[in-house]
Amino acid sequence: MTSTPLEADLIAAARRGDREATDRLLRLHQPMIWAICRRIVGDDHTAADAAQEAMISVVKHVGRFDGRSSVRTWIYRVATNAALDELRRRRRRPDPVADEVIASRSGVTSGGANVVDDRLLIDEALAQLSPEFRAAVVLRDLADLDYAEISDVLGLPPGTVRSRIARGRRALADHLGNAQGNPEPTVRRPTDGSPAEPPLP
Amino acid sequence: MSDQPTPRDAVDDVPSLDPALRERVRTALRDVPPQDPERAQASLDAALEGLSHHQRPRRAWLVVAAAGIVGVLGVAVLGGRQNSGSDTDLDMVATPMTVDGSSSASPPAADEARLAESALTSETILDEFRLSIIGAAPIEQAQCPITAEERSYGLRRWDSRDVELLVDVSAGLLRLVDATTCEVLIVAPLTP
Repeated sequence: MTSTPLEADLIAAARRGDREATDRLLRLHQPMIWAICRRIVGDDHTAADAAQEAMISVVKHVGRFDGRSSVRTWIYRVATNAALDELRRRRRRPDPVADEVIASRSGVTSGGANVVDDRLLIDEALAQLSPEFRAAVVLRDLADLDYAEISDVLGLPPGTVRSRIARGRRALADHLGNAQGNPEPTVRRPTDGSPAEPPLP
Repeated sequence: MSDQPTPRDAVDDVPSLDPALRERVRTALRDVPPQDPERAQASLDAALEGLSHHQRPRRAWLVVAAAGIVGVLGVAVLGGRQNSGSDTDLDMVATPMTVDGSSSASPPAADEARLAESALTSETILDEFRLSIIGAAPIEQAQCPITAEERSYGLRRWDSRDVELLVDVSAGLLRLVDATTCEVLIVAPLTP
């Protein structure tokens, strides 16, 4: 993924301290920063803090952007790290506000439509994955990064990325299928005699 | 965000799921609840506010810091005495700030020494305090003990540690405490 001409212009200007360019750059990517943080951390309250930290970090470190990756990949990396950091922080010191949000969410009833059901279920399903698996799936299926880019963002070998994405998706699909009483198997089982993968963390 | 598979999927995707389920997972993942617009704008403002701090001239801070080196020990004692009426242990005094996080334009001469001390602690104090106040709504329940008038602005990463920002608007005080030990790290008076 390469930077668009607009992104390249904006980040060049932002590196020179151009406030308007920095504003435009952040606005351009704010929806995806939010989406990545929201999907990785799992609730609005924590995601808002993570997204804010990510944008602050982008501004603080824009001078360090060296162009080796695309602007988008760099910003998504910052967002992913901010989300994972926020999760680690909350684990050390649970946040009563975030906990209340999560607790209240489990009592929400859906309107019955599939998409609404899935919106609720996907949070539950993601919560069952470890943050590292979650991040890999989110970067692939939400942020549309390719495997090399995800490998770069997460600092993992490409094979590990592929494995985490495959297993993460499978777990999500299982959860969505099982939650609706779907008795059909939700994944293609290996037919080549390959050993079963170990359980998800 | 498109719900359609990208061309890249055809060559490098992991073929582990039934395509219909694969698409369902992808669609659900992309159906992200939108962020509260006010909070989104506040976050953006906070980030851009940081930009202006990073770009501000630093010479004035260096001058003040140099001036403060001579009297810093005495200032520390003075700061402790000035805050002795509080029910907390006040270790330091940082730069006066307004409630919305902006620093007072021209601090009184009497505060110059205290300003010097704060400059010696870290310039990032200003950045982090300000950003936290602007960008986050207060929460009622704090992690560390607070006074009845204080509100927590949540946890932040500051100076390689987890800290909690507590603000008492009526008393005009801002406290930064270590989120793990609840030790008071910084106290900053807020100007109305």
